[in-house]
Amino acid sequence: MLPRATEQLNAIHAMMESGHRSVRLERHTLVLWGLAAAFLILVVRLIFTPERFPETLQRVLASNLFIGALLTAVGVIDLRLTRRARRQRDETLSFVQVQLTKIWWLLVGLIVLINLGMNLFGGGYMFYGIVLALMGIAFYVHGLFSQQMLAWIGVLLIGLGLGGVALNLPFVVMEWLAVFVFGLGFPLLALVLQRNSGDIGLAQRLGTMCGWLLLVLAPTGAAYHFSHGSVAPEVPAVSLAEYRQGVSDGSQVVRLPAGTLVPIVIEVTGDILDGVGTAVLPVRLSHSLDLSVSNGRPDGLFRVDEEHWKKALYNYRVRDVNLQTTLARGRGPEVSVKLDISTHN
Amino acid sequence: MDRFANVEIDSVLHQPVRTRIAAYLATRGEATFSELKQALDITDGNLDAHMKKLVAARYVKIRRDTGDGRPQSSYRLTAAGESAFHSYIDSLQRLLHFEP
Repeated sequence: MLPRATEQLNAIHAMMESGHRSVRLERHTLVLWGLAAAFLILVVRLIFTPERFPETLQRVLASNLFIGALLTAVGVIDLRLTRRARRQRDETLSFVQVQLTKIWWLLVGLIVLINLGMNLFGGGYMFYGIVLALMGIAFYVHGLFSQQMLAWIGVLLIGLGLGGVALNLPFVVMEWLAVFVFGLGFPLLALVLQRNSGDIGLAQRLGTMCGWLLLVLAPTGAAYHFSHGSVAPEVPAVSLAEYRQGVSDGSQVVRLPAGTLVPIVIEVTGDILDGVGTAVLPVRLSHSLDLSVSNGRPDGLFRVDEEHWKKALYNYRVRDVNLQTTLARGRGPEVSVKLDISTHN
Repeated sequence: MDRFANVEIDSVLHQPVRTRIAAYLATRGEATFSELKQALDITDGNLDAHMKKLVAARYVKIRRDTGDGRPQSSYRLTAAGESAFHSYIDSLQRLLHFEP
């Protein structure tokens, strides 16, 4: 007996859907990319220091070349391992998965380009928010053709990334978050996906997502808590006058009382400007400031009004940078620069 | 059957298992024997018989890969197979008008 047209069309629809949902992220894929990204976040700043690479352009190019090379290597290794694993299971890479792999690589390439752009032109405080959101998009797209859990984690990552930027979370918090999302969250997700190869129920999915989020956020909070605190430097405190006279060398704390003059040296250059030299803008401290100094250079530790010591990396931020050109009738052409320097995060 | 006289049906594809094989390959692109067997949930012998018919009709081609690791055979639709599958779906949609 010949099959009915409706039955055949239903069967075709079911098989086409099954063919479309044939994507599966291998365990090694998430582990490799996750660990590589966490490694890069932790070491790039330690390797490419201003001491080793004094020129900004040189440092930026070298660090981005390193990042690009490492991620390319990870991409090639991942593809080879995936093909080998599929062959061992007598499986192939589906058409959709090949296309999704290309999207993944494009997004990773985009992240490297954004990093390069932000290194050169600023805006770096948004970097990890954008990275998390882009990875979220990659997971979400994979999840559409694979396990729904991936799509859910994708949405969560997009939320974490955009939420971090919207809430103006300190750069270092976002950095720790990215370290644990990649270094811990990705391998954990690989385990979850392997254990639940089929789609799981809504309650289980929600539970898994909350558990995953908790396991990523808890170490982020702990890392931030333990790394942002600082102990008072056990070195002699000197006044600015003593420091200037060079009474003692090495490490010391220089005390700058409120009202101390902090000249801001401004240097402006440009192809349409002529005869512009260096200007000094006199600014005074409104609070007393203790600066920890090593060999004549501030080492990043400070305290305001004798409160607790802070690390500049966590508590010093220039924000709301605004440059505006006006041509007022009374005053003529004028360029006004506004910026806000904050020691609170 | 007079009312179906104007609708030409591909006899190779108008068989439930072969229809499903073609539909699966149309979206997946390429699949091994094991993947097809798992997706269709049928026996080796049954699948083999249907694959032979699809290959004989030149709707499906086999790619044998002998790269590193064990040799692997995978199946994909030929251009003729894709065209026949689309025509078959058109035919089914026209047939729908005649179904109660």
